[in-house]
Amino acid sequence: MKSFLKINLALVALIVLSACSSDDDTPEQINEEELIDRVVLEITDTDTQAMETFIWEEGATAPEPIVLNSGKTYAVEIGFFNASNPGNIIDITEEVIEEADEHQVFYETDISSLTISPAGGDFEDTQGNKLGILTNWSATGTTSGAVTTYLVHEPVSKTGTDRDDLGGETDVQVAFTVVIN
Amino acid sequence: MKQHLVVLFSLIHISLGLYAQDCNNIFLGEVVDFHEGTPLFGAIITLDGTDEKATTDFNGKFAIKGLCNGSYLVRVTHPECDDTTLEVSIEGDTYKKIRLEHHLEELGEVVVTESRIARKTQTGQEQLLGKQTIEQYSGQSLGDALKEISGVSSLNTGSAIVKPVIQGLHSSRVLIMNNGVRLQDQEWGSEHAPNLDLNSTSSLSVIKGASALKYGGDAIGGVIVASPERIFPRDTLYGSTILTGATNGRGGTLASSLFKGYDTGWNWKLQGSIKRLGDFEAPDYILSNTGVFEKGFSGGFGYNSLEFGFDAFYSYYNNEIGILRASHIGNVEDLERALRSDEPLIIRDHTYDILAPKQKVDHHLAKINMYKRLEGLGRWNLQYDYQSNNRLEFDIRRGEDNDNRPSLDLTLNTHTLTTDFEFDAQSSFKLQTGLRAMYQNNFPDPATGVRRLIPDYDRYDLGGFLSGNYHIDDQWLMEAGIRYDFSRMDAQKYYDLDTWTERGYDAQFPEFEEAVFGNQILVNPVLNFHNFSGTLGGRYTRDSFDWLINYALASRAPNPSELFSDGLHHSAAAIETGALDLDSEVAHKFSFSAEKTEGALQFSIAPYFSYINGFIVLEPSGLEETIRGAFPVWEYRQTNANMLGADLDASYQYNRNWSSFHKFSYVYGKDLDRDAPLIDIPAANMSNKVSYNYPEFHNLSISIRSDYVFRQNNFPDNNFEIEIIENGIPVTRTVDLSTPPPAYHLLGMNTSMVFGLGKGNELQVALLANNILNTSYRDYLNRQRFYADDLGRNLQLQIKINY
Repeated sequence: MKSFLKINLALVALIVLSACSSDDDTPEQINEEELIDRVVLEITDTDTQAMETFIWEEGATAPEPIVLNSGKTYAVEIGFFNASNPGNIIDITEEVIEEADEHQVFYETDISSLTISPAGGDFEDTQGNKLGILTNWSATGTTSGAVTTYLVHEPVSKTGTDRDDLGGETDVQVAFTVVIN
Repeated sequence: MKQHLVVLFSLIHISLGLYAQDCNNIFLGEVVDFHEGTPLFGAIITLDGTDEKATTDFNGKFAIKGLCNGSYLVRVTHPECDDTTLEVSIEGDTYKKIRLEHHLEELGEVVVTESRIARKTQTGQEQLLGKQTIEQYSGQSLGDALKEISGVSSLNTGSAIVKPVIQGLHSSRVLIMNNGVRLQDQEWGSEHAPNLDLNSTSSLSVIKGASALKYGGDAIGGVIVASPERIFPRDTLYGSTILTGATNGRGGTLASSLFKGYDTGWNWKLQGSIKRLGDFEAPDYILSNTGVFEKGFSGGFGYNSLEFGFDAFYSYYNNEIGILRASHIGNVEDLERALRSDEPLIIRDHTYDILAPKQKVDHHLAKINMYKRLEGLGRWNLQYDYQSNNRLEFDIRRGEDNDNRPSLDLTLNTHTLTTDFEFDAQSSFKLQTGLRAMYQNNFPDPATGVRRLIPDYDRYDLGGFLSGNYHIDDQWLMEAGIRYDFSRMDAQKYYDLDTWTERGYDAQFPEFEEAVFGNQILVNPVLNFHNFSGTLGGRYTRDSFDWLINYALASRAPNPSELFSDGLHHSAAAIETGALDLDSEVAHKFSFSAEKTEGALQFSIAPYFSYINGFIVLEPSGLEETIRGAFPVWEYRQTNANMLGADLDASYQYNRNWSSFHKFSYVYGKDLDRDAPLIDIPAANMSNKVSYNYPEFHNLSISIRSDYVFRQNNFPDNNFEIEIIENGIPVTRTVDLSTPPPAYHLLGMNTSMVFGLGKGNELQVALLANNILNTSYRDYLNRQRFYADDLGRNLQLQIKINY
């Protein structure tokens, strides 16, 4: 019986000690590294070189409508950012370009007169597919609608007319209102 | 009820001085039950090296005459006892008192008869799986084997993550006891299968409900008790090796075990298994990235004697399971696209590689327990156990550094001390009382670079119970019990500052707030729960019929997932949020069973009804706009729920060769607040099996089995609509997550033969065929049903060597 009690006490001591030694340290704060919470469109009028910036940010109010003039061509550059820590805004676009094989930027619109095509200087993956970071937009007529920008991770196909054709996982899906004058 | 028998010798010293002379001594004795002192009839007493022999009479008495002085080896045997040998020194008319423990259970044998029910509760619904059935599932998992029991189904993620569901309830509502240790393996997650190697168990009991208070008061769904092989306290060495090869998955399982017993009471055991399978296959395509690599090892040693025994046990379990590649999606549109497609959107060639998405789990379990029997009183048990569970989940991530970096890394350490006392000295009255103390720590490693799904927490549990049963007469038995559990959760969690205020937590729980870091707030929720549970039941036995009625009250504190979840669930395309203000859920369950356990026709009819107050459910509550588009938000909420169902079992032995087995189960669950059916309730299902046995020819056994799963017609409508652009035109599409798949029928077959290898060794060869017709089907309770069909045909060849 005596040895029993000893073992019993030892076990109780063990459990109490382990309970007490539990660290009350503050857990480390995590700022997500791979998060994308900001999409920026830089739209440059190829004639005047006038540039306008439209920002979609999670939790913020929607950006102003993008106004394009009929018959003109605009050079558009898209950027993806992690702005969760205002003191350290990370440009995710560079990572997307580095891993071009696993990514595709895709644009979809319900404005039939708006054409979006890859720019000559656009980044390419190892197969020579244009990534969609740099595009040219041109439109005719007077209308309005939306352009949805997608960042697709590990697409099944890099070409197609619908989002469906690309498959893969959607990392970003953001709609911008577009007005054509 | 197993008879509690104990043999007791009492040599009555009779003064025979007048006649005393060499070789004329009389050895008188009496054999009685250790606990009650009641005489035991029919024990055979032999003296080694002589022809002297005696049998006890109705008073348990015996006499052996004409013995010389000297030392004799006395052997005692009884049909229901283990052989026992002891040395008696005859010195004239010698007096010696000898005690023998006769609890077969304690000495190492659990009688496992599948047709009979070996009970852990006296009045609750309970069923058992024996070693033979478990071995058939050597190449599969615990959850697969348990489905042999009516009323048990499974919640699957693919085919390798199989979570048992008891009468419609799962996860934290089902306790799993592995060799006396309550498994603490992050069981709250619906994609977390029990971390238990099926090959390390030799019997599985399923208690459908909370009537076994000893194991916990929160078993609203039930308790699964997995017990390892027990070793007799006699000189023995045995074991088996099972090799299973499977066509589906193109791999197999090797499981081996070795058991050693000594007649001194010592024993040891070793067991190990390894399973490796590549991608599984549906009838029409490969299920890419569904490979499995599983390893298990366990070992232990112990000592058992009449009055004292101990057991030390360690087990290690590790698995790496691939998650169907096509089920990893980014947003709701991706989900809708997957739902629209008949086939998974990613199909690759068969491979053994397991890539992301995948999960990797490590589980260590160590325990030491001991017992001490006190004569005329009962048995005292004491146990300490330690478990360490590490879970890694790998998602498809961006960035080179992230290829081998998990998105989730949780380590759960649990220490438990339990003690109980069984008062079993009275044959008509048994009482058990015990205490349990637990300390648990969860550590989510911040090195993942992904916000924690489950926060850092310390949990303290303290509980006590008292339960007993009373045999009123030969036919009536009453059972009752009560239990109290205290649980404290002390967590540290970062919330988004916006989220914290939007939910009104800043007003509700200002005392939890610690500090604000940028746009995050650190909070320290300390939550206490007081849970009461109890049971009351009766059993009436007459002829070969048992009638059981039971009421069980169970209370369960919310689990960490229900309290703290906060983030995107990838394969469901949903944002899941916990609720800090959840209370315990309290279930009242009434069950009734009518059983016939003897004769050619045997059956069991077991209806039940439960009312669950504060049932915690995950329900859609709105949409949240994110950078990936709008996501449905699912929030944990409490409601009141009803569950109603029945499990039916029947078997018939037509003659000595032919028999058939039938079972059916049905359960209906309703969310009373929402006035809608509960989600993920198993559909009605029916299984029929015809068996042919021909023992004369290598114990030939052939059985054909048909499983029919009905369509679940009772389901909540959680569908929602999204707008997408198709050919430049916006169209509205419904995301149908609710509609269950159609009914399906599967055909299976088992054939086995046994060949003697001499010296008690034997070889068993079995051919197991599942889904013979290669039927394409999807199951309502498989979370991958949105993306792919279930498994196609699978042929398994199993070779087992017993030695």
